[in-house]
Amino acid sequence: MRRILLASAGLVLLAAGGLAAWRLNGVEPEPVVPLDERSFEQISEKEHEDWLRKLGYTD
Amino acid sequence: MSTLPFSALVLLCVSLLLGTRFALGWMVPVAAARQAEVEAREPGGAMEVPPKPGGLAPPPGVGTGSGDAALTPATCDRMPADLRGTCWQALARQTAGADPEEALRVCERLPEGALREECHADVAETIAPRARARAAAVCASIPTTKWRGQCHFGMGLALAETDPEGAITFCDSAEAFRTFCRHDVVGEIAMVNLPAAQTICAREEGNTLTRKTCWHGIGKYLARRDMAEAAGACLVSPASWQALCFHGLGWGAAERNVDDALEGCATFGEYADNCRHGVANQLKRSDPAREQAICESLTQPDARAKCLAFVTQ
Repeated sequence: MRRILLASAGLVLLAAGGLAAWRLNGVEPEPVVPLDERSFEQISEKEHEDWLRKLGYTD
Repeated sequence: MSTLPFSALVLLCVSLLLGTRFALGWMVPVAAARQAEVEAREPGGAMEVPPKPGGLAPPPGVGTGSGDAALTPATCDRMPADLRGTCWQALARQTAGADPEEALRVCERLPEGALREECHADVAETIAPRARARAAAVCASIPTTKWRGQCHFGMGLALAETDPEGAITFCDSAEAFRTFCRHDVVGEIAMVNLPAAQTICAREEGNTLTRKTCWHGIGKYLARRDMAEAAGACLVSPASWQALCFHGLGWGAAERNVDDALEGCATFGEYADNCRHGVANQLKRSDPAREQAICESLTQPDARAKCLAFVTQ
């Protein structure tokens, strides 16, 4: 009985720890520099293409 | 005694679970608020850039400094505080043609930051056709990447009509706006000197995006004036970029009249879908229902899928 309780408690703690780590992962996002404040080289091709498309500069 | 560790263990687990639950309850709203803050900083919010030149429109009563009643420093001083900055900007633009150095001094009346840098960029754009070296120096002196890039973008546009080759070189310094700059400068050049624009695009400079948007610019700008003229230019562009050129054509024509644009697109044979795709994209903000309907009408499966994917973005 004692082993079962101990194992259950361990699993619950593991799950709670995992949940906490998962939820807290987004708390401190990397600071995002707006596209227009970056140099040309700091913008990925994908970011550039999405931006261009949004403003009607490509298909 | 032997039950004490069990009780302690159960108590510990319950405490940890409750603690975790309340800690998450406090942390998650914080995370959501921060995420919202990050998203708010992304371009695409209140002010879309580019195309900048023109920037934020002045509020009613301030005027643009060109063609409106002449502003004076006294006028700006009398303005309410929230309009004063825009007034100084307009005064700087008004002054730049006759006295660039005085215009720059007017800019200094603005608090340090984006407005002052935009003011310097405006002055540089205004004086670029007659005092290119001074204008370039003004742009180079702007501390932030954004406004330094905008300044060079503005110089490119200002020189497009008179010096195509000189104009396009300023796009190299337009930072985040480099591709936008080449697209728009080439478009402006095409309006007055199509062979010069085609020569620039034919050099195939830059990455794939830069090369393809070059032809897109020709189609878009010429279609703002005349669809047939734009179609003629698109059909002499390299085969691999003709579809892009017709997309630009559709966008440019739709800015004037959507019905006329669609009617014109229907005459472009194998490029009709590309043209309609451009019309649909141009409607994204103003008429999303019609945008979707046009996308659904495209006959080429790839074009239809791409067009519809953009509808939901």
